[in-house]
Amino acid sequence: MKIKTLLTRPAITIGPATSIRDARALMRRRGIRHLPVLEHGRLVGMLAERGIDRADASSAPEIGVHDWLDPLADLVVADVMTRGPVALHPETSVAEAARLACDHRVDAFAVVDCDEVAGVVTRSDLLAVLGGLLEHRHPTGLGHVLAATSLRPGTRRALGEALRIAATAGAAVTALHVLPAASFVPGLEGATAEDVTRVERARRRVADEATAARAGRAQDVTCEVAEGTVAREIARRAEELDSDLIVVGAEARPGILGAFVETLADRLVRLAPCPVLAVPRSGARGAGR
Amino acid sequence: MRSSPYSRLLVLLDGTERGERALPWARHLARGPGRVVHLLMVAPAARALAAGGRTVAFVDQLEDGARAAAHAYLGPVAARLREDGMTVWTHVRVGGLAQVTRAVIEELDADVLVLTDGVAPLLPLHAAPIPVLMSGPRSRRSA
Repeated sequence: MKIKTLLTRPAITIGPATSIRDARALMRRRGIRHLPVLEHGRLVGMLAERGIDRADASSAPEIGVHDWLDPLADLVVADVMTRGPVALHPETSVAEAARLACDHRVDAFAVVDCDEVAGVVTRSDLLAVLGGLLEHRHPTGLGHVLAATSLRPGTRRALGEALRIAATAGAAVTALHVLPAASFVPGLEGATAEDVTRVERARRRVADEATAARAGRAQDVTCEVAEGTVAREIARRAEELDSDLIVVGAEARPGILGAFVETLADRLVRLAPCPVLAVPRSGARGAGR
Repeated sequence: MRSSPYSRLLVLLDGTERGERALPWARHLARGPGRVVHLLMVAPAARALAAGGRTVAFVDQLEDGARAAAHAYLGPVAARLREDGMTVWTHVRVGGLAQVTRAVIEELDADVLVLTDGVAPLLPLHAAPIPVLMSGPRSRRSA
């Protein structure tokens, strides 16, 4: 989203020689807290209500003669404004503007197009947009869960776990089984009837596993079969589906060498665009309790 | 929105910002009444320091120092989570990471372990008795 979409009214600006009293009155009248300051049509500063408040505050340690004088009486905008303000182009993204607001500790940006001030975007405007986007996209931070299943006995638990977690957030679930590389590529010449049967069989088994994992719950699961190097294909699909979480079965590696053998979960942690939940096989405690 | 399927979360931290990327997921998974988050830091077992034939720091001194540093780190992290209304306990242990983590899982009866890669590079995922949530170097969203 571009910041130009946040500009809802013509820019209200002020000159550097205007008195601070008038500037404050203008802000109050228009319900705004920041004014771009223009001199000969060019942006030279930003005046913030907070800056006026600071100038207005008495520095006397106790009530004295200073408090009976108006500290703003002789001040003009040029005395209080921030010089050399950071200006943004209307095509700047909201995300980039938010980053700049943090980097430069800026409360408001003048939006300038071809040397003309088009408006003002405040930190509050940016927060409202970003908050709304997050809320809309993933109300709970979890929009999609990819459950990778090997279809081996004992790994159904991973799919069940994916469904349980997705249910807490209303997230979509895709169950994916990856056939090892060098088998069948759908649509390519050379795919035999046997290959097609094998993929269909795998697809049915994934669907059966999803049905069993749902255990009667009304939860939609998209079932997919892909072909390739298993970890790489799962990571690729997670990227495509914009998954927030990958759930896989943790393969047991018994024996002395077990600790040194990299598992699918280990590989996925390195490759995946999102966190990986490794679920122990049936029989281990923890999952599904 | 339903409560999390996990009731006792164990979050393994190492005192780094990278390790703290596990916390958003802990927040997410700890949603619901009665959920408890346990923050764990494991300090490696110390060896006595000797210089010029004299022992200049004993094992217990070094380990006490490591424990104090870990508690000092975990305190504010736990406080931030508690501000969000979560029930949080902190634990500091000394020893081998995998063995200690496994022992703490059993001791606390934890039902999910949450961590960021790099916190426990030698922790074998497949050996954990409970689900392990881990984010890696390419993870665009924090674990």
